[in-house]
Amino acid sequence: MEMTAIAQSLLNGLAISGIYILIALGLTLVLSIMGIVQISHGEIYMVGAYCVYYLIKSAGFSFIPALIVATLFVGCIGVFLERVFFRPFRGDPDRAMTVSISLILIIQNIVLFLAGGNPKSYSSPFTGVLFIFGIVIAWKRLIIVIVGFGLLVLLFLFIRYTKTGQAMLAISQEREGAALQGINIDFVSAVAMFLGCALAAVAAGFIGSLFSISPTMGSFALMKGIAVIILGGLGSIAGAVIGGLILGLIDGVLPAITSTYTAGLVGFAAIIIILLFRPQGIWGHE
Amino acid sequence: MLKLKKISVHYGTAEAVRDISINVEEKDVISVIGANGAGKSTILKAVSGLIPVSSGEIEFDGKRIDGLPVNKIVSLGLVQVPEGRKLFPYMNVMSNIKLGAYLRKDKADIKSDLAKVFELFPRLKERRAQNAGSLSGGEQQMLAIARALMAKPRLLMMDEPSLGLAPIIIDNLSKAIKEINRSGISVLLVEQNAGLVMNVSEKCYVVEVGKVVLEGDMKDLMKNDSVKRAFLG
Ligand SMILES: Nc1ncnc2c1ncn2[C@@H]1O[C@H](COP(=O)(O)OP(=O)(O)OP(=O)(O)O)[C@@H](O)[C@H]1O
Ligand SMILES: [Mg+2]
Repeated sequence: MEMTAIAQSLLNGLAISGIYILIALGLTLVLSIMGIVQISHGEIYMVGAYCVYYLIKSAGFSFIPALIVATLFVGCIGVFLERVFFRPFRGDPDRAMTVSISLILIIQNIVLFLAGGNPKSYSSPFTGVLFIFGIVIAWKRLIIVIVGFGLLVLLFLFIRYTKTGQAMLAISQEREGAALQGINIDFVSAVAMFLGCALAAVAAGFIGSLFSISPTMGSFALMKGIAVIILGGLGSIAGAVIGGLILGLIDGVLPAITSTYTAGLVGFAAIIIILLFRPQGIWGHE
Repeated sequence: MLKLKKISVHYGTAEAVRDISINVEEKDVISVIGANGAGKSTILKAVSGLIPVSSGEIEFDGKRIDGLPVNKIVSLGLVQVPEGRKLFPYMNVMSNIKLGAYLRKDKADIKSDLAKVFELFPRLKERRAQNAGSLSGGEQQMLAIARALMAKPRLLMMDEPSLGLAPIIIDNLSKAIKEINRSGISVLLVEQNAGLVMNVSEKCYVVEVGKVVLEGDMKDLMKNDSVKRAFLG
């Protein structure tokens, strides 16, 4: 392959990694703070894409303001869901899982009712290409890499340097110990849901600018998100990042070399092989 | 300052403790002893608000605190060092200690309290960058106490701090408890280690299958059969 093709497929891989990481971070945050595998996370993501779509098409927003508004709005949906659907079932993962499954159906059907089942699309304002050393790079993918990894750094700083961030770490490691320090678990759970859902909306907003959106787009995102966190290590933020990088690069680079089907197989084969050697995931604790 | 008035606690439908009354006055070191499963931890959890009481009242400084959320109770100065320490294993010693001061906003005081805590447990200062999970059992217990002290307790509740520690470490522990008490903090100590209890406290409650069966001065109680049962488990 020539340089440009390699660089482009690498960038492709990184862009996909960025999306996977954003989705997986939300799942990880909610899992480690609330103890719930939030399997309607894919639907939250889907709602994010539809919000961006309608803000652009019906409310006349341009892409970036639409993305910001959609992100904040979906974050607030997350806070609402935590309060109404998840808080009553905290400490009862089986029922929380049932709630989460019901939410998949509820949210999908609301969107089907409001928007119909036909795929929709909007385009990225980041058109054009960037030339570096004779390599051609598409802006609409580069921007995903920049935003995705930028948000990752912000999240890291938030967790490392704010009180609420430290409280999140504390809850994820020792819930009762955290409560005994006076950490308000309700409040921190709401923050975790806000952040997790907002990150999913950012990912979906960008995905919608590359591909079409539909009410069922969430299942693919959920599948990838779950694969990423299992690969990286459940409940570990660093794990979500490493897992997302690996799966994103496999999914982004391999199709350019082999077929799409082979790439899909390799992705899951890689997960199985890594888990054989590290059952706790790459970055998981024991 | 802390009054438990005939409290009962249930887990689901199973009764864990019944009609427990305990009094802790300012500057007291009060012990609660009892065999495994007697309900000692349940009592402390109820005081901290981790589990609701099904009847009875808990008062702190004359105000009812049962039903308050855990964080409110901590902010009143009623702080617990839980059984099993419940540290944050993948955070370092310093981060664990700082989380003890989670609810406090008095930055300058926090700093001087940190210095005091390190003076009480110099070992923790040496290990401040080490993950809590990799400390020895004795160091972990010190860290759990240090973390609780950072919350500026007026009454410190400790749940079996001697669990799993060597006798020489338990000696250090009793020195630390006395030191903490001298600095004006009342202590409610749940224990099964006779030596530690006799060393630090004068008054003691004996709990058997969820009930207080005896209370009184340590010295008198030591002659009693149920006290021996409580200590021997
Ligand atoms: N989460 C729980 N769910 C149901 N029952 C519980 C729970 N925690 C404690 N119990 C029961 O309540 C009773 C009192 O338990 P508790 O932990 O208070 O005893 P303890 O005196 O602290 O014992 P130990 O010395 O072993 O720590 C026991 O019979 C125990 O089985
Ligand atoms: Mg106990």
